[in-house]
Amino acid sequence: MRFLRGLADGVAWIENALLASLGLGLLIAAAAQLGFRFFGSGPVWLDPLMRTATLWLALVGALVATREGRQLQIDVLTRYLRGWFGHAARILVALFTAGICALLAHASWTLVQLEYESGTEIFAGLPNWWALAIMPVVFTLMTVHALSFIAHPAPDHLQPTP
Amino acid sequence: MIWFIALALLALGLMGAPFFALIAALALMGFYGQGYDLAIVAVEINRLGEMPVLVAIPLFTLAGYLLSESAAPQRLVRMTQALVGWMPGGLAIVALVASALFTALTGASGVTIVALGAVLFPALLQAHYSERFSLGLVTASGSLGLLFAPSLPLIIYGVVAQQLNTTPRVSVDDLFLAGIIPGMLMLTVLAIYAITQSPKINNPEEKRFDWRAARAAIIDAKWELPLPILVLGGIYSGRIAPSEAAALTAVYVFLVTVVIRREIKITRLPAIVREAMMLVGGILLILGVAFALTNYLIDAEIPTQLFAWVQEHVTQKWLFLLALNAFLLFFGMLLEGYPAIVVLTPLVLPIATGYGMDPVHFGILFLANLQIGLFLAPLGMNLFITSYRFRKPVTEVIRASWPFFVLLFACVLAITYIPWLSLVLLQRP
Repeated sequence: MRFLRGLADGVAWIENALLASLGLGLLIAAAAQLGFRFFGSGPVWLDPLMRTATLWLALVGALVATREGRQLQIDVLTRYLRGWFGHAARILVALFTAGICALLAHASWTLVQLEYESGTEIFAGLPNWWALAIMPVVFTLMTVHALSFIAHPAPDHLQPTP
Repeated sequence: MIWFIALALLALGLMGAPFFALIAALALMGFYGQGYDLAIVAVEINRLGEMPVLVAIPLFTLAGYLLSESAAPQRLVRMTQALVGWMPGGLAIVALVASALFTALTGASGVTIVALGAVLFPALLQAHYSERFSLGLVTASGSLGLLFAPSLPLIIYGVVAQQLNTTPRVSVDDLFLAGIIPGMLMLTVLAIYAITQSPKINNPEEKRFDWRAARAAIIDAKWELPLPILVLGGIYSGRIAPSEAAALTAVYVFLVTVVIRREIKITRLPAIVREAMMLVGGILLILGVAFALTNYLIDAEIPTQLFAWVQEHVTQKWLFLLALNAFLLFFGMLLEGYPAIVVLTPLVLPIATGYGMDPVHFGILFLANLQIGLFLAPLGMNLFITSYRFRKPVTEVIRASWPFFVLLFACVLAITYIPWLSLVLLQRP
């Protein structure tokens, strides 16, 4: 159990660090792009790099949001779901979300294989499947995070701020 | 069967299932039913990495978070107060203008109520505005500014509408221009209401315009002041694309808040960036699965069938527009912004253009409805945010905010029936 807890904390740390680095990286790339625009034209790979970073940001951001139970949802009614009905609803929602994430993981894994075989590039000789490889990884982890809500509920993030 | 699935998804949604999973479920089932390989859904999500305009979303959001974590909201309030605070209703107008600017930059995520409301609510009470008026104003203020550049909902609507290949094509730049007059209309109406509700000031000292205070406040805000001029000027003059404006905003705000003013310590930066990017991830993933849903809907010709059905039952355009408003308001209240935009646009936009509406006018009307749906009783999200933030019962927030709702609803009707308001700046009335 302790091993599992340690593993979960480690994964959470990596996810958080990756997300913050992607955000700051995009900011630096944006600054570079502005600089290049001011002095003429920049390297051709900067735009595709920023677009790929946006895809990664979207997925890793959504992953962290799933882990913390902060995906956008209708949460005005959930707070009134109490007792055994509340438990049942939470388990049902967790199973549903995990199922969808698993399907998305499978679908994106198929896409990565297709891209691997076709051998297209994003920029500077970098194969496209590298950029896409984040998708099955994120959706697999999301499946696990969603399932973990069966055991314990998500923290309530609409608490009054002091 | 279809009804069973719809009911099951609705029930799951009300029990708290995340929107992205609900939308993905629809897309996956749709494509499966049509006999496609499900990898097509992944192909659609991957398009998040193929659109230059989407790079703007994380950058604008980051800028908004950095600003709200710095002392910029207080400076913004102080400066506008020094400039218009002496007028009757001045402070309330300050609250409206500052909130609109702030919401335009941060999107409608309730950040305005939390970050600016915390400054404005006590200030309004101190200036002898009634508690009911102040509470209502703070609630309504979270819904202003969605129509002004660079609001994220405008960008998201533009991106989704482009998938539908309407004529004329929708561009984000056009939407930015089209939102100006309708947005100003809403602001002006609330400002006039605020003047009628302003407390009588007996002390003539408080009434006078203070040059020295105004100058000091402007100097105090010298780093923030160029930002709206730079960004809005750049966007509205058509000189820079939305993604470049976003890069400029993010880099500028970073320099001011972290490097020059040092109000945000470097060590706090990763946590703030993480928080902002988590919100972005939530929104963009919904957009990604919505691409897949849109593609399926078009492939299955559902918008066309829906249009035929509606046209059979509603023959008059004005009646259609009225029904459209009721529909958008209800779903705006229930689906809270982004999910409503990505799901409803592909379904309703083809119907609206079928009735001869301009897709840009429809976008403005859609977002105007959504933004007031945010505080429509009984389920509007901002009612709850105000209730939690200021520790007031939701019923009290509803009572306090309904006059604001009625006024803004009148504006929405004007925006609906007078396309000129949205289209005049595009020179295609």
